[in-house]
Amino acid sequence: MKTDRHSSAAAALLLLAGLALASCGPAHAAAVGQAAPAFQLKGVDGKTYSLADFKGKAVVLEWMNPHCPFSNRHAKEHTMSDLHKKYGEVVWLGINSTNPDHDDYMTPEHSLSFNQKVGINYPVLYDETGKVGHAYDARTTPHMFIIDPQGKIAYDGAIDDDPSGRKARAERVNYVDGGLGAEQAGKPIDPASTKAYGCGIKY
Amino acid sequence: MRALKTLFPLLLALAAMPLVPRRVAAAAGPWESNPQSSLRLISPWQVAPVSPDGELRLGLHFKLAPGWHVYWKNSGDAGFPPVVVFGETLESAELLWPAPERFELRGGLVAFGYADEVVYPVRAKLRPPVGAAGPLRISADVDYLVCADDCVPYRYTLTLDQPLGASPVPPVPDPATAPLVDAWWRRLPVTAAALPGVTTDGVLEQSGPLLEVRLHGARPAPGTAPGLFLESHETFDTGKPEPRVTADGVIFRVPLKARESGKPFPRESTFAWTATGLAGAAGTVSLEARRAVPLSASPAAPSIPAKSAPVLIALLAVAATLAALWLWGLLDAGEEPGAAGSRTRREALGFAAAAVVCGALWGMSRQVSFLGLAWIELLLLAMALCAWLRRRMSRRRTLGFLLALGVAACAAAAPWLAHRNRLTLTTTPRQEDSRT
Repeated sequence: MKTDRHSSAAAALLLLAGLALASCGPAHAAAVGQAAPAFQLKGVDGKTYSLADFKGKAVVLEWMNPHCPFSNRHAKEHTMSDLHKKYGEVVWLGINSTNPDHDDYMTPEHSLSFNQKVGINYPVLYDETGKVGHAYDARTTPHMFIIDPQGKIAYDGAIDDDPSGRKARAERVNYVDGGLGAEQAGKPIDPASTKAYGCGIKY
Repeated sequence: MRALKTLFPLLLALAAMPLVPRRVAAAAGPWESNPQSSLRLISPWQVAPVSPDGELRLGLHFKLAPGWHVYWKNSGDAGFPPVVVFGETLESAELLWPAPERFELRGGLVAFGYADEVVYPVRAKLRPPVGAAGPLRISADVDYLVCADDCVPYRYTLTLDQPLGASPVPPVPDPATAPLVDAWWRRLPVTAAALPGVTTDGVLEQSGPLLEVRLHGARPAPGTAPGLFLESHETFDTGKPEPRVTADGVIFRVPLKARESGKPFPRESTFAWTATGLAGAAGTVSLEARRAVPLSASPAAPSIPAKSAPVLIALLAVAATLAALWLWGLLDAGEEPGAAGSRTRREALGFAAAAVVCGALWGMSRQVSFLGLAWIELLLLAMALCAWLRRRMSRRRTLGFLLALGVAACAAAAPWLAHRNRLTLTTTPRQEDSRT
């Protein structure tokens, strides 16, 4: 009898606890100024990369999808790979969050050969579950993040101010270039967030 | 004689037309096409009037393959709106944005734009002096992105040879394009000043954070759900607006996410919105506004004659929780309830009471802030926990008394929290309308 009553009380408690949890919803996705969500992902080169390995260094994350015209254009124009060269001491990681069920999915081997062809020699990581993409609230390809040496997100947004690629390269304002320059000079990054443009990530 | 003089070049142009088939003057320029979309420049006139102010209506006409869309001025999470640069034959030209639709894409991404067909109205101004020396060649460099699940960017130069009619030449509307341009012109949002009895304002609620956009005096158009579209904001990412129709008008609640954490919110931020699906004098209308929105740290006196009564619902939730606890035998400290059959019935009734609690919480979710709701749920949980502990420790009198006090305190605090976190917000001065 007593156990009966206890089990129904337990059920009631569970019910209320469930409601309380449900109302909290998903945890807030990352924002500028907050700690960058940790991750460990496999690269197309077969190595495993963890954000924690790069503590003390500035890290750039670039959400990419070679099948997306925007990512593709920047790859062929060497927008990111030239910046990677310019800021040699900065860690540059490409992340592909494309769902393996989507047409845009590229096998890691194919991705590797694409990278070699267009001169991308930084690691490209595969986030096939989309978990890391959602943790950063990454929406487009390309969507760029700068993580400062303290591990905080310092920039979140577009690579530049020219979504259509209409301007000459010298006329574009490259936010990541500006951000990394400010970071090196010990100045605050301004703007610290812009609206990322491009294709939606194929989660 | 003068009339003849003005007419002559036009006649000459008309006569020359068949000889130059590529420059056929018409109300529509040639289509440019790709697998996802076709587009052209159109005007509502076969022969356009030359008004003293030189204004000329044009349209950028898109037809889209099923499933593909082009964008509103705020494209949403991905994409970008068309970028149009008109040639030098026009002094100025402005692309306008009709009421858009919302598209929900995979991965929880959202786009704002147009599917199937759209005419972006263009308000153009002729370059003076305006004569009628043959058709005016209008050209436009168009950069746009068309998306379904995938996106494809395109770039075209569109042209339109628009015959102009100086004073003696009567303007001739085009039967094919005029209704099309007019229909899309009517889909342009109007300001609140154009809707009698309608005003709009907003409040930014610190907890959440949450933007509440209010359209006082507005009604939804019959058979349509009102929609809200926000222009992109430099400080906040915006979530999905939830419409609510009250006695006062239409209210939208929009969850926000600060792009940079740890920065205090400004006391006032400017938001621009377009509300669609509202009832107007002649059918469905959209309303656009740009307002300085004040920050409300503590939701205080309600400005909306609220039918909402979160305190009453909170009382109901507390009463139902107490009823459930009592029916489950958790409130009586000592004696065992009666026969087994009646106990089963009591316990079943207890679950019915728990269902009432769920319903009450759901009802409250639309009337109190998310944080307030979480607190109330935690209080109900604490109440149940106190009751259960008291039942288990019925031998210890002092502790039992304290736990009973805990139950009572939780029961009293829940309605108070519902009141404190109610979503009807402070009254704000209504600003003058300003076009975006």
